[in-house]
Amino acid sequence: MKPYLILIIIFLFVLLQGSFLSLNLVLMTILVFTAFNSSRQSLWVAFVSGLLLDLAQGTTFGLSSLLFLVLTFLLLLYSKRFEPTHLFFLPFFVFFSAILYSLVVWQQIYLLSSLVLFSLTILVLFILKFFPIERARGLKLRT
Amino acid sequence: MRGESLKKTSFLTGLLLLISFLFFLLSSKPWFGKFLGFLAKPIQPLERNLLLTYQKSASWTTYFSTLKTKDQQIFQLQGQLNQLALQQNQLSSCLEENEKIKKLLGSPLPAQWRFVEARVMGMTEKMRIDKGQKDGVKEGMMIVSENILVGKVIKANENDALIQLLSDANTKIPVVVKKPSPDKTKTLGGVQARGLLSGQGGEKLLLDRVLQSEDIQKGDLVVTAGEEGWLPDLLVGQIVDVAPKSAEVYQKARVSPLVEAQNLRIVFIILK
Repeated sequence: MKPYLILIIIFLFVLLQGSFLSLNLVLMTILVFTAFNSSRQSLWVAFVSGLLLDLAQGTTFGLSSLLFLVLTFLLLLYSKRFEPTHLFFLPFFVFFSAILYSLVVWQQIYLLSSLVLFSLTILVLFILKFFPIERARGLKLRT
Repeated sequence: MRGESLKKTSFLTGLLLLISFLFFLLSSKPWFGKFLGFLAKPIQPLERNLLLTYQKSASWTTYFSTLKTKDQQIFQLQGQLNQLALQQNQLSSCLEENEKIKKLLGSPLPAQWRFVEARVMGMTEKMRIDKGQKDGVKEGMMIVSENILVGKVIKANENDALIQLLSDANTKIPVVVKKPSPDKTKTLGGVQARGLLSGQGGEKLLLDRVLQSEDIQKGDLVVTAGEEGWLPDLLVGQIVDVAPKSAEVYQKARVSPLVEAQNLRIVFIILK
């Protein structure tokens, strides 16, 4: 999937998260995109999304971006050796990332919304297995 | 793993992290805050409209789901009960209330308190309002709806501010418990008890640190004590359930807020 398409989706989620949605769909989208598209584009997507989210939420500018970049980088490192889209990895990674995000940004753990994200990630993984998208391999590391 | 590719990825990550960190540091500077306010301006009306649409649809959903059910009756009764408690308090402190309403209307008054109207832009983990530093909003200021406490400003940006609601787990308010007077024309009863009100992340609040010797009952009103940076005499909620007396030093009670923050569209900031 093209990065600008994912940015459009993320922008919609940013608006929702800035107005009434307590689910961190932006984080989930970035991580799922990174898992399916293990390239350096993911870092740019994480960077831009973080800045947009901070603008929309009114949180300290750059904070979400910092967190998203660290998490994306960790996922990229993982994807060089293992399968990041595995059902026993990605949902858990999203879950713990959401908890970390809420703890750092809101100084509070939102367990329920993290669990919902966990379930949503499983659902998204299933959908993407049934309707596979072309996986870009920008890094071409798994030779 | 190819070393060169990893190096490039690490370099890009480092670079973007550095830029983000720079933004993070700059965000405390007033000139950068103004720039961010300018950037956020096109997004804010979109968010406000989205929230309004959501609130409208949520209220319709609630209406249909509770139609002709006992839940609806309970819901209405709870609303009426809260309303009665509010009216009782309003009537009992008529003079004080008139003064406050005048202030809310923006009348020039010699009193210290001044109110600024703000619209709710976002309601997620925290509430977000459309007034910020340029309107004189500072961190620590109280947010009210009528004379009911809604929350406290925890971050003031150029054009908007983040509000920590009562339900937030980080909220801790020193409060006093007052008996609602049976005679609605008289003021509230004296202080029955003192305690600490804390958010639980859900709808209800927890009243703690109330001495066992003090008398608190279901229906009592909880009002801010005016300590630890919280302004005094702001209504917070009503006791709905008192835990049975135990061997503990303090007794606890569950408190229902008198205002549903989720449905608020307009609030007032107390500028002092």
